[in-house]
Amino acid sequence: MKITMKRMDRRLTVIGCGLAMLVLGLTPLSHATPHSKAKSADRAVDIARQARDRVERNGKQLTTSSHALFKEFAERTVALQKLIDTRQRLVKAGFLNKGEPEGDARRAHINAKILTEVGELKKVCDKRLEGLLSSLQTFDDSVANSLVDCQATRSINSNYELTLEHYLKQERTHFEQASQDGLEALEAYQNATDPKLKARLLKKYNRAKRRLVRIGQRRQLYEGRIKVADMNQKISGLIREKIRADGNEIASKYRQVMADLYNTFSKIIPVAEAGGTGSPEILANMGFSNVEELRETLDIVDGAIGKLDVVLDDMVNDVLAGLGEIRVVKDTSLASETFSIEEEMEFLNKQREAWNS
Amino acid sequence: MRKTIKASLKAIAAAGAISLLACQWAAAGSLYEYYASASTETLKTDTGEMGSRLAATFDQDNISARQQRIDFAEYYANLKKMVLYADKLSTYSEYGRDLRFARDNEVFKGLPAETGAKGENVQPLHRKDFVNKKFGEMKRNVEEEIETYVDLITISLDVCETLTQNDLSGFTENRKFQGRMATFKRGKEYEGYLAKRARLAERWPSLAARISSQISLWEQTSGSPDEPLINTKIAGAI
Repeated sequence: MKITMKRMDRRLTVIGCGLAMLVLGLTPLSHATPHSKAKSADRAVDIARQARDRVERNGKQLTTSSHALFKEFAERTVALQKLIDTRQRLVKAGFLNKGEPEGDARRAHINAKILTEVGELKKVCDKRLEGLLSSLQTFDDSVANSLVDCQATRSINSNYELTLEHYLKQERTHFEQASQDGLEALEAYQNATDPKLKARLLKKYNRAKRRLVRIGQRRQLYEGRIKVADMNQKISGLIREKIRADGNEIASKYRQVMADLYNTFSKIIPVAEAGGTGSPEILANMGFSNVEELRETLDIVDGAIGKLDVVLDDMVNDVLAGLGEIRVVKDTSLASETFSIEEEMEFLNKQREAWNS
Repeated sequence: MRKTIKASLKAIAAAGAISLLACQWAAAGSLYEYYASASTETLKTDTGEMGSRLAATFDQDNISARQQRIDFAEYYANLKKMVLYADKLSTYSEYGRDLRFARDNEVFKGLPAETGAKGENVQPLHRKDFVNKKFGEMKRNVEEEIETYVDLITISLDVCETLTQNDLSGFTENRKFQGRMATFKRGKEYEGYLAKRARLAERWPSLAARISSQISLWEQTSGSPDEPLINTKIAGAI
């Protein structure tokens, strides 16, 4: 009894191992089916979308971290503008004339006031700089990694298209065979006189016809998938190029703006040093070009913020517009139940024309 | 009703804008009046006080440190990207040979099996055609990837070279940044690049040399920020 049990155990083990091997062996086969191939095209779009989402997510973080800086900046710019306007009015009114003691005193005072306001701008930058640079680094990293991920989408998409084309070729061979069978059955049906034989041949023809219809449906499915794959290729290509063209330079532009600001601040150092070491007269003779430069830089700051928003919006809109071009391929069902040789011949001809078109 | 609400909202907005402008004009006006009426002595005293505060705000060391920080941020971001892209590009150093091998030996992934799913024989011509098409597609895709990576590496290299050749802020001498580079060189991204550096040099010698030159700038001085500036052995000998 024990021996029999042991034998049974061994057999069960062998069967179990066999089943496990079969399952393991079938796993790669299941990946080769048309259904799973459809998933591989989705994979390319998923990668491209994830890359886009990552860039967008980090872009939003960057916008948030830079928002506080630029909000304070905007407020200070208003105060600065007010001072500049007042200075111009004073110049026009002759209150800042050089060589006159009152004019020199007023000139020195308002120049110092303007520089103090620029100093407030600098304090805002000092406070927020580290946070902004850190967000920019994170944004840059996400753009670089997204770009690398997107590179793979080219191959995934074209592999998918190629595989579908291959399936389509195979289907054509099946179609030729089924079409031939259908024609032969139809001719035999026409020539037959015995009602029993006629009924049998009709059934045979209907079987061939159903087969043709099924092949036709599969062809349309493959053709539909090829269209989708082509669209996927365009979508992932679009995202790839958007990230490359626009995302790559945003962080650099932000850093350039900050570098320009600090270059402007550094130009004030000699004036500030002289003013602070007991020679306030130097403030009276100070040129005005530094402040003009600062205003130009502020315009660039505004442009940089706007640019990020525009790029991200464009990216999303372009992709959504591209997606709209995908059409769903409608399935065809069996023709009407009434039977006509002429209609059937026309059906066969149309099927053939569809293959050859 | 809607029109009335809209009209009211517009009126409120216009009134707000006008009052804001009026406030600004009033403020500008009061400042103008202040200058027109303030005594020379008061203005001079006030200017002196503002001047001394300016010296503290526009301190050269303070500004230089931040200029260095911005320059290093730009440099580091580009160097990091350059190393990442170089690592990926190296993979394709022998792409022509690899693809021809795959074509000649029919070892492409996803190649139709010689026997179809329902036991049908796949025609050898179909299989050959598939292999040739796949070879062509892959070659085109790889060449596009290479072009992208070479372009991106060149952009980053240009930035790094400009920054180091004209290092006005002196960021390359900063111990803190040298420490940061040392940390980066211990990371996975750099390790990946190092492993394939020879392949890059073989296929794209000019790019590889330029990248190496940038990295070598940090090799002599890279270390922890706490390390002494002068080698202790040399200091001892002196």
